Amino acid sequence: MEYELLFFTSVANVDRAGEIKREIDEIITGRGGKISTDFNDIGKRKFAHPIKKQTHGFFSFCRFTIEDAENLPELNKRLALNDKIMRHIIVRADEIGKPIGAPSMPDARQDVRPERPSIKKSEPARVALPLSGTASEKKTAKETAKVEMAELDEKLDAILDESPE
Amino acid sequence: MAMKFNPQQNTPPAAPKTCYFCANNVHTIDYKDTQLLRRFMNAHAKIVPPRRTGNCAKHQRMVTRAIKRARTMALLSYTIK
Repeated sequence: MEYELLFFTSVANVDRAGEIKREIDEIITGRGGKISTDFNDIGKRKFAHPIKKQTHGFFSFCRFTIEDAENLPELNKRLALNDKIMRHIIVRADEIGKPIGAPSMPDARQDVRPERPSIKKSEPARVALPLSGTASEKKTAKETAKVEMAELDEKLDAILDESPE
Repeated sequence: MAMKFNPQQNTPPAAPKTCYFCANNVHTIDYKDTQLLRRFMNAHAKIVPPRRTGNCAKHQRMVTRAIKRARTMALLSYTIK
């Protein structure tokens, strides 16, 4: 049966990603499994919630086949004991579907927020009326303030990216 | 004066009549596809009930399982204040 393994390491271990992958390969082959697809690197990504006081992690996933499903608990245990792997998950491949290339996963910060309507300039019909015109002006001012906050967030993230803890 | 019954207050919001996944012939849901899963969560990152999304029972189970997997792997958040 084919399975998919997704794991992430702390940002400090990004340089040792190759080493970690080799270790995972050893763990899987040691339990009678075989890696069927190469490791797909999702790359550095922001967590949706902090884990062990860290905000970013390096994600990667691969598929492997293992004949005897009784080896899976042992495999899980081995992966959990490896302190370089922060967290991992093994899911049956047929539940996920076709293997895809590195998915275009946006930063968690973007997709956890509700969608905001695109900012529009005050409509001409509304501006014609003085009362509704001021209302829309107020609205746009509020929205630009929101945009500024979003820009600030992005800048903050950029700074955090530059200096990983 | 007696309160007048307002049917609009008690009617749930209109849900799409067809399941999104059935309509698009989707048989598997990837827990890594966060953009898709976000569609079935509300602004507080709660899982939206099928009476609002129109999902069939089978696909709703798949969605919840995928969302919960994504949450443990920090791809989706448990809550947004």
